Amino acid sequence: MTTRILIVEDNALVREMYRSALKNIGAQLIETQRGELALAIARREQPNLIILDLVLPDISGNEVAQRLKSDPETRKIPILAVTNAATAGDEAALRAHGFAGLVTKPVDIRNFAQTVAKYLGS
Amino acid sequence: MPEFSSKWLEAIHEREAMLGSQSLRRMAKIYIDELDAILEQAIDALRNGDIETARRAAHHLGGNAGSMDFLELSGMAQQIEEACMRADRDCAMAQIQQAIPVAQRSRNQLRQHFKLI
Repeated sequence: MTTRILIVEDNALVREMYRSALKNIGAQLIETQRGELALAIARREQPNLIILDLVLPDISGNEVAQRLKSDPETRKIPILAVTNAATAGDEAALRAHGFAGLVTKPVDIRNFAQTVAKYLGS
Repeated sequence: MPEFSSKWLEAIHEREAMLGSQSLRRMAKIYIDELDAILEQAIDALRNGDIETARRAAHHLGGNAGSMDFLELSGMAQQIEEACMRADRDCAMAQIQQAIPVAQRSRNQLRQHFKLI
């Protein structure tokens, strides 16, 4: 069964960086720029991991996470929050909101694939 | 012509090695193409009192700058975002004005490094 990662990120440059950084991870990447679409895609595709920016054009990443976690069909999918220090708040609060972990921007590209692999296996 | 700091060059070469030169070049092109629109969006939004749009533009600027290792600009963008989150429009506008020349230098730097027009 193919491993799938859903990337929810409206920044084209960051998506390009993710594609390259994760090209050797052996997973199919599914991308969307919108939170509402992410909810539908997550239900349909059942990805193994969601990489979610907290600042999106339509609804906030926190709301996306909350709705994913309250839906029985998507609640078990681990979510990795990606954002900068301005929006992140503390990691404990994010975990309480259902996030499995946090990656802070600027993304440390040397460790990004390793971090993603860790959450794929969790 | 901008002078490249050895630290930035080192960081960008490391990214090139990890991501591939073609991918980094595509990232540089996106950065150059988007920069003016992001700054204009932030300024226009603040002038119109739309602080949430200004915040998202600052977030976008910070994401782009950080991804290309422009850490000073990334930090400035984060301060703009924080000012927007406090609804401090004057502070955010003043910080954008400070960030503009830094952003323009970063774009020139990428144009020169990647030989992009």
